[in-house]
Amino acid sequence: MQSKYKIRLLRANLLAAAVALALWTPATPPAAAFVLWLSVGWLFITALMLDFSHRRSRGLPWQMVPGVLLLSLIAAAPERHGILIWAWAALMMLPQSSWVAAFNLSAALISSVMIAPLLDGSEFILLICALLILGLLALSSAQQLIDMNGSIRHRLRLIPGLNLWAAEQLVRDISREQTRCEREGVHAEVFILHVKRHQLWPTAQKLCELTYDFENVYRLDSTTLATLMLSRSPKEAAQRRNQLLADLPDNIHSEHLELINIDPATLSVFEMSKLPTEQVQETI
Amino acid sequence: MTEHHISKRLMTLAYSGSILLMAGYSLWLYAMGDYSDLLIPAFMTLLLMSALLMHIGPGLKSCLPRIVLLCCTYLVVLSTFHYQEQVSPIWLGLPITAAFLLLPLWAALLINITAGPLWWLFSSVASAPPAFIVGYVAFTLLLALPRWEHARRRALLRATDPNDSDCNAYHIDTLKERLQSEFQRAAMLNQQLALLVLHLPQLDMAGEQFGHRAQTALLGALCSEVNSRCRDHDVLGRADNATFWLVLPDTSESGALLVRERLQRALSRCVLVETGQLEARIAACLPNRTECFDHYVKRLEARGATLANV
Repeated sequence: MQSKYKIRLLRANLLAAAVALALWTPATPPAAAFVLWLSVGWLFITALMLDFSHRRSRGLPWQMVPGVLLLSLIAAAPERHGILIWAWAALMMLPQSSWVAAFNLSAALISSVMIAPLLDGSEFILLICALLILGLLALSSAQQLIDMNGSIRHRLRLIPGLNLWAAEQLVRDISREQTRCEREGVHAEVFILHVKRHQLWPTAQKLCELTYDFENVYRLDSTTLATLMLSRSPKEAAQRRNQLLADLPDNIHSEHLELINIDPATLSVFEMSKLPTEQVQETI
Repeated sequence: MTEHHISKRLMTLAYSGSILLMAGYSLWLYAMGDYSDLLIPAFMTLLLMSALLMHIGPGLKSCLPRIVLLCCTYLVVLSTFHYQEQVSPIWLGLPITAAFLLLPLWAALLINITAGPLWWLFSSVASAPPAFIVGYVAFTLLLALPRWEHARRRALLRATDPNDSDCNAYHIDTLKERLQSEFQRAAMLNQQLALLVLHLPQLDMAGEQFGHRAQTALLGALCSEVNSRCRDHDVLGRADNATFWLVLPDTSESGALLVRERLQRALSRCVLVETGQLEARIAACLPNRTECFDHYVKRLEARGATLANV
């Protein structure tokens, strides 16, 4: 419940910032007004799209968008938006990939050069130094978050409350389930689904509902899902596979691998998602 | 641990940089002949040095040097606005940003809301156009956003991390979920399921007498001992402050009792520095054939409570 509350507050803050920026637009030159409205729009869209899961946190370099907006805000009206120069330090607080950080850093330098005429020389040097120190503080707190992220990421479920796990978990689960299924005499297989990119999350959710609680679902990459299916016999497994495919959308390609035939020592997540269909046919 | 050092080293660098900056600013004022304005920055240089020492020194809370640094920033900016006529209002952003970077989010918001009207007492700020006020508000709101994002990510990590925050065992929600799925699996595949309830009677006492570290050591010893002596698919989770459940899939009652004996013996051989010999009470608790899951969980909780009150 507390997490829901945090999301709401963040959304409220985003909307409040959007409103404040909108109120800032009267009596501005058209270029600055345009960028201001653009920023308002971005804040609004971010507030609407905000969700509480790991869906969007991977890959996408969205930290560039506020960087570009900030640069254009300062460039459009340096004498009016000069105070925003300090926001670069706050922007460095977000964990970001190194090239995005490099982009933001150079954009910060360009924008500080733009506001240089507003200050005299020594004041400008003071400003740059203060910004650098603030940047260090921001990087330090970003680093704290990255550390926390790194240690937990490997054992993470992707959406709170859903039986959906990261691909690293599958590699661990395979070796564990192999010994277990051998001991218990259960037929297990890895069922891999190739879906369209936009179908991934809805299909994953559906798959979690259709499988038993003890069968985890894994996201291998942006178009591949997998699940570890346990049945009493190969015949029952085939039945369940057909049932699953009947309940899922039609345009999904699927493959399956018997768990016994997988060698966990040589297996990597990447190979798994790229598995050619012929190899699967052999194992049937 | 090494990663944690990066963040600390960056902070050290920031503190050293702020000392240099403050010293440079004082020297510059000295060179310009503004002797009356010189006093505060020079004093702040000394304060910042103490902050750096506090940061490097072990055993001190990390919030203290942060507060010193923030106070220095506020005081210097205030004094500059007070003594000098022509200061660009851009400098208002420095203490706001510093507050958001150095303080917890709520404290930072509170300080900026209360300090906001104060700035307009100064002539160089008061003469700024009214649009500047809106800009100030918008700027403060924008600065809070990265902190909220941090809070969101932390909350998300906590919500999706299956492990307990103190030890290498599942926390209660994941534990119940795993137990339920094992329960379902046993029913589906006609297998037996067994469960051991472990209670650590020393835990509360260790916390009261020796503090959190002794507690963590106790929990760590239990978890590593149990994890090393169990099969890969046995599930260990923390059901309660001092109570653990060890789920043993495909295990009969006699098997569970054997595991109990083995664990009891292994745990009694564990000796810790502060609490001495590790004491654990273990009981086996199996689901009945017709029992529903919720009833079983209630029975397990009751069993844990009885173990605690022996």
